[in-house]
Amino acid sequence: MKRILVSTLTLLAFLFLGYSCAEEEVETPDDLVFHSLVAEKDTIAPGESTTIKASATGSSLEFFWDATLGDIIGSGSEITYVASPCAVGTNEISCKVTNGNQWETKSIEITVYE
Amino acid sequence: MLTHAQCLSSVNPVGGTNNLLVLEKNSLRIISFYKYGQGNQYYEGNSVSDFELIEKAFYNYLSASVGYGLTWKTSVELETGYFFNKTQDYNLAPGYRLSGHGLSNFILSVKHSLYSNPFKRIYITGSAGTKIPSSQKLQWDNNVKLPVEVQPTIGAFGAVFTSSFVKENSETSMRYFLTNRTELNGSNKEGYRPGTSVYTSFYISRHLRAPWLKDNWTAIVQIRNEIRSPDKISGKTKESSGSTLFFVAPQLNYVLKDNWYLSAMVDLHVYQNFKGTQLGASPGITFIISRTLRL
Repeated sequence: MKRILVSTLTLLAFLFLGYSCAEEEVETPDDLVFHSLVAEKDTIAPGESTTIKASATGSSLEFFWDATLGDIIGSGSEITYVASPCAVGTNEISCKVTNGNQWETKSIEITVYE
Repeated sequence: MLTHAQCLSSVNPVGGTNNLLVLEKNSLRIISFYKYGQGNQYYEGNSVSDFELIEKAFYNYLSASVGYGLTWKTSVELETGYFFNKTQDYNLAPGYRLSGHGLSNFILSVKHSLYSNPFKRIYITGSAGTKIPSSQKLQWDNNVKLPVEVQPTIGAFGAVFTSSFVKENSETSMRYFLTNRTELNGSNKEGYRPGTSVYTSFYISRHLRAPWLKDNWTAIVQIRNEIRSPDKISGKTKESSGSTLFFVAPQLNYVLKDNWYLSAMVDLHVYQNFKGTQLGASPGITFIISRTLRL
């Protein structure tokens, strides 16, 4: 009985170590640098659009976009922001970039005038 | 009631006349309706606008409501719904679509019979309820947060009050309904607060009797007014939000085996007046099924 218990614990220890090693192998380096977030135009009329580009370097980057009002068309490092008359005013567009390990956020303001 | 004016608002759609009165004690009523709503024309005030950012907005919505008669005068109801889609097609080159889906809000309410006179066949009920969002997190798609117009719920708590006046005339097989539903909304976690919505409907219902018809058809005409006050963001009024709309909605009811109520309804707008420029309502359809069980 004691031998079975020792064998089981040894096997679990190996499995745990193996899992931990596997985890270490996929660790992402701390190499994220979010350089800039730039809009083609910072003022648009309802119905118009502007391109917004996020410039970042790092491994396996993902870009997350959010606008207080107005619509984001597309995804990735470059999107198009369009605004309906519902979005008149100054709206903040945020981009969060992550490499899975680190993340950084930048925001810009686009004014939609009547 | 509609949800696609005001650039597809986030109000739970409401359908039909089947849930106006308080339930009998220990009876259970289940109502489900499917609704297709759409909008493809912008309005500026009450005039058609040539603005055309959204080519078409539409949704498919399934609602479920369960009511239970606690006493002879009071019933409780739980209502919710699921948006199979809430979609905006953009008039861009190339074309683009943003679409959300999921559970909308839960509305838990208590309905009470305020006046009931079976001799004069007059019934007045009132209800008060709370609106609970299915989620307080807004929906994302492809790493982009969806605009509020296509969110299945805005994530804000609120309150819902209804009142109904029903008068029946057995000699002429006519029924008259006057209903009101007011929805008050709080702000979501991002400071977005949908405006107050007030729906007022007047229904005329007539039991159809003809030699060639079986005795289980009812025709209803609904005249509905919807008023929405503007939405607010962090306390500031959102531009181009708020509206006054009038609809005519013909409805046909069929009673199957004395237990199942089936209805079909069409929403036709007759007047739309928007603050600023907004996407207006186009004809929508609703199918309703309900059943009451005595436990």
